Amino acid sequence: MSTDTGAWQPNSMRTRGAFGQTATLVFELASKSLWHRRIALSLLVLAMSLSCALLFFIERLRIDMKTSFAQSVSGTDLLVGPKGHPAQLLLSTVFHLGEPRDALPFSSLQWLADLPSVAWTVPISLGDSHGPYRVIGTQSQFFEHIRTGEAEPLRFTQGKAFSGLWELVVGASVAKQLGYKLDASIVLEHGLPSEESTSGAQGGPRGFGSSTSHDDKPFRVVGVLAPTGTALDRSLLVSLESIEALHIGWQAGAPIPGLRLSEDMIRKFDLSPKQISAVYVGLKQRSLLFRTQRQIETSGPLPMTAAAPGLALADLWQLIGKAEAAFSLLAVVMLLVAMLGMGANLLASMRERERELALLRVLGARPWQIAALVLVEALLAASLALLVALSSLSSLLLIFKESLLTEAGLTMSAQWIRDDELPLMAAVYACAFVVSLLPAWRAYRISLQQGMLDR
Amino acid sequence: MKAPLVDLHRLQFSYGMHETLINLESWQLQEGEQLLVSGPSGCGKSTLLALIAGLMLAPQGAVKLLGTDLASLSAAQRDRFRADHIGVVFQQFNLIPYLSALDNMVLACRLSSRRRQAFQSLTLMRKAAAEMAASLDLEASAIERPVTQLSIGQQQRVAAVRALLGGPALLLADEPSSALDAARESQLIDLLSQQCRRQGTALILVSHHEALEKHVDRHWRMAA
Amino acid sequence: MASLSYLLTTRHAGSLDAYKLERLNSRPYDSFLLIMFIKPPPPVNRRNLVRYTFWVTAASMLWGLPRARAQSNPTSPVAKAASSPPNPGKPRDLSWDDLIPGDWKPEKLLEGMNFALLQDGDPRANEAMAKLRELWDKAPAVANLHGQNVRLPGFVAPLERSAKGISEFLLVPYFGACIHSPPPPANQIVHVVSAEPISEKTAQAAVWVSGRLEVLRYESALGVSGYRMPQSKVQVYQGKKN
Repeated sequence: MSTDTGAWQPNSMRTRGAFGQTATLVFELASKSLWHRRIALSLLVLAMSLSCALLFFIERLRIDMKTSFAQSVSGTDLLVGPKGHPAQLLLSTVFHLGEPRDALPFSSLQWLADLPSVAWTVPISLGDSHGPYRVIGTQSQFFEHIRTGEAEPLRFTQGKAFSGLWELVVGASVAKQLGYKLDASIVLEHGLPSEESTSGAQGGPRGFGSSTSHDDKPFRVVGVLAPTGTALDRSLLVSLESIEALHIGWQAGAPIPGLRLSEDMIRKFDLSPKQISAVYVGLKQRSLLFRTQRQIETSGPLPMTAAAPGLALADLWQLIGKAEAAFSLLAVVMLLVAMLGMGANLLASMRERERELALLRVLGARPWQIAALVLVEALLAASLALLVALSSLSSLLLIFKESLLTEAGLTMSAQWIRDDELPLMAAVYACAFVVSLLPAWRAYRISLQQGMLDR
Repeated sequence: MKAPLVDLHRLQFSYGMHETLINLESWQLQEGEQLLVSGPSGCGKSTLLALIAGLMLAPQGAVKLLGTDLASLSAAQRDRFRADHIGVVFQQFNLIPYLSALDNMVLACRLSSRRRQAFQSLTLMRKAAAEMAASLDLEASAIERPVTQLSIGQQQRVAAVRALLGGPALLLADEPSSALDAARESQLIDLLSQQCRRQGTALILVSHHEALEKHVDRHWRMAA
Repeated sequence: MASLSYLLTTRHAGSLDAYKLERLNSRPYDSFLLIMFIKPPPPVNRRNLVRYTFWVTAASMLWGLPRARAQSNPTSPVAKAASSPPNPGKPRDLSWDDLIPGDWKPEKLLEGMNFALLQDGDPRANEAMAKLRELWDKAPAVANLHGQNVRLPGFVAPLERSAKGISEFLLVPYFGACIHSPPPPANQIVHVVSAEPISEKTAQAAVWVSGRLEVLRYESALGVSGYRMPQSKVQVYQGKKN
């Protein structure tokens, strides 16, 4: 190999592809340098991936929760209940959150059905429970008119709707968790779901008016619903008459001691429903919404609230909007903290690496390339953290998919990353970039000053 | 007469307010010439190397390498010039600790576009490095190891390969063997000198061991 | 494309030099590049072929990837931009007053009543108000707007949501139409089904809705008709465009 003794060549004669090759070199140096310091960095990467995972989880939870809520009721124009806040009516009726405080007399149902703009009505009665699951009393047209998701009707995986007394339809999660099949015999309770009650609790009431079992009136499963991804999956549906029959011989929420009535005897009583918790209403034309709403609220036989689900949800989102923002902010701050830790580590390592950087400089690396080395190290560490965070998040979501659905009624996608999360990923990289600017600048300054003399 | 490789003209340098460290009227180094610079510590040997390498600029006088005045180049251009034409070996801390010996050897070549052009691909570069290492008495098994596991002598040889790969015009060695014992030192300088002769690379060797002059063409004793 | 790849792999030259001056007199395209301090691309030969192929492939992937994804996801903005059908006719800008028939004048009811003569709280005033309100509720629609391609601004009262956003809503002339009394009459509400679901954020502000307007007939018992726009494009309102 002979030396080149010609005059020094001007810039334009430099080899092609120089930038690409230098970039590869910087990348290689950065990754090997990180690997060399892997023990010290592992804790940092762990901290970063934890905070990334939390950030992505919170964002995904927000969006999935909203989607889940938004898809809980479809095709219903109005939800009519006793006077109160529309959002509260929606929450207690559709999402089974919170207790229904008051009730409408059954006669109001007829008045509603008679309104000229109303096409159909479905009454529901809440208040009973079976373990942690709610019992809903309704009429058989519930299965015809109530839709979920994007106007999808309710489907049965087994059996059909109830048609008479003592007949029960169970939601998908109930059937799965409790293993109920067609013709199984169930016992129901009065009052709100409690955590520890079991079906068939024999013991006496705990205190006054608490959960007690109707163990003398068993129901029969005649249908199992397909999963809907809504609170319906965790519900049991019976006819309004069955609810009345359930409460025959009860006083103030507790059974009358010594009173045992057979099923046949109960049929003899007047089982027409007296009270309902709410009514789902469908209109002949959707643009009649405001008119009908006004009509129900101002000229009804008693004070009622007619909530439009779409509008009430929008109100709800605004209400919880601030809490959402606070959670997101918290997650972002956590990420910043972890990133700053990495930045501090990088900065501290600059002192140790003075010689190495000076050597690179002497060998021909330019100061900006050395700064780029530090930046690339930070970005690589961020990439690793993101990889760990996203893969563990999606694995965990995959594992707990079922429990999330049954416990919280929440469907969260276990995708590795979604389209709407890409900006978040970019933000993480931007954060790493910004945090590494100070160490990179230090590296730049060090490499400018180093000469051959310290050696 | 061919143009000299290194041409120093009226060079004066001092650190701050101290007395002038280097004061040279005229000084040349020819291509392929090997020179030993010896003298007591503090006489400016390393400073001279830094000036020739373009790491520092002298306020007065001209430093010309390959006919190019270093002062006429911008800082970035000087960096590139140094990468292209000069190889450097230090007394210690020559290598990047997290790279293997082979990676260290090809490092300078990869940082210089001119030296990189001598090879068609990275693989060929590595092969050439391994060959040169063999001719400097480095075993193949030593090359693949991380550099922290090599002895000082081996590390210096790795540094030598790094400096010479790609055929630079000049090699600057700042006390490369001072940490070794006499026998090994002699062996290392001998190998270095032979490799330089093979490549036609000029050598400026800085050391306080005057006995090394038997390996080189010229010996310059710098005064304090 | 080759020139772009070249840009990516070399540094810009710092200043004009002999090499550039020599090339300055060649192709005009080169001169333009040189003037911008960019080196013209080298010729394609065997040595460069692999590198050229790589960069051309990378660049075309970068360009083509959004379009390929758009094909499988037709709701993306790229797909919409790429595949929006030619407009059969620009939609006609409509105002809310256009939705009220020209011959419907509720003021006629108040003719003959001299409000100045009434005392405050006179029951006749309240009666008149109630009658007015009833008339307002029964307001008819403009039948010959049926089938026209129109554009209307308004506010969103959501009805149905899909996974991607609000898919169906009522378009009303003023914000908070649902909480103000009285609600707008039937000919001032349009039932819109949006072709693309809109986000909650868009729904909080005013929007333009463009599409085919339909006039519906209700049962005679209701006595009113209404408006519907079945497949419409919804955009954020940003001032009147002429």
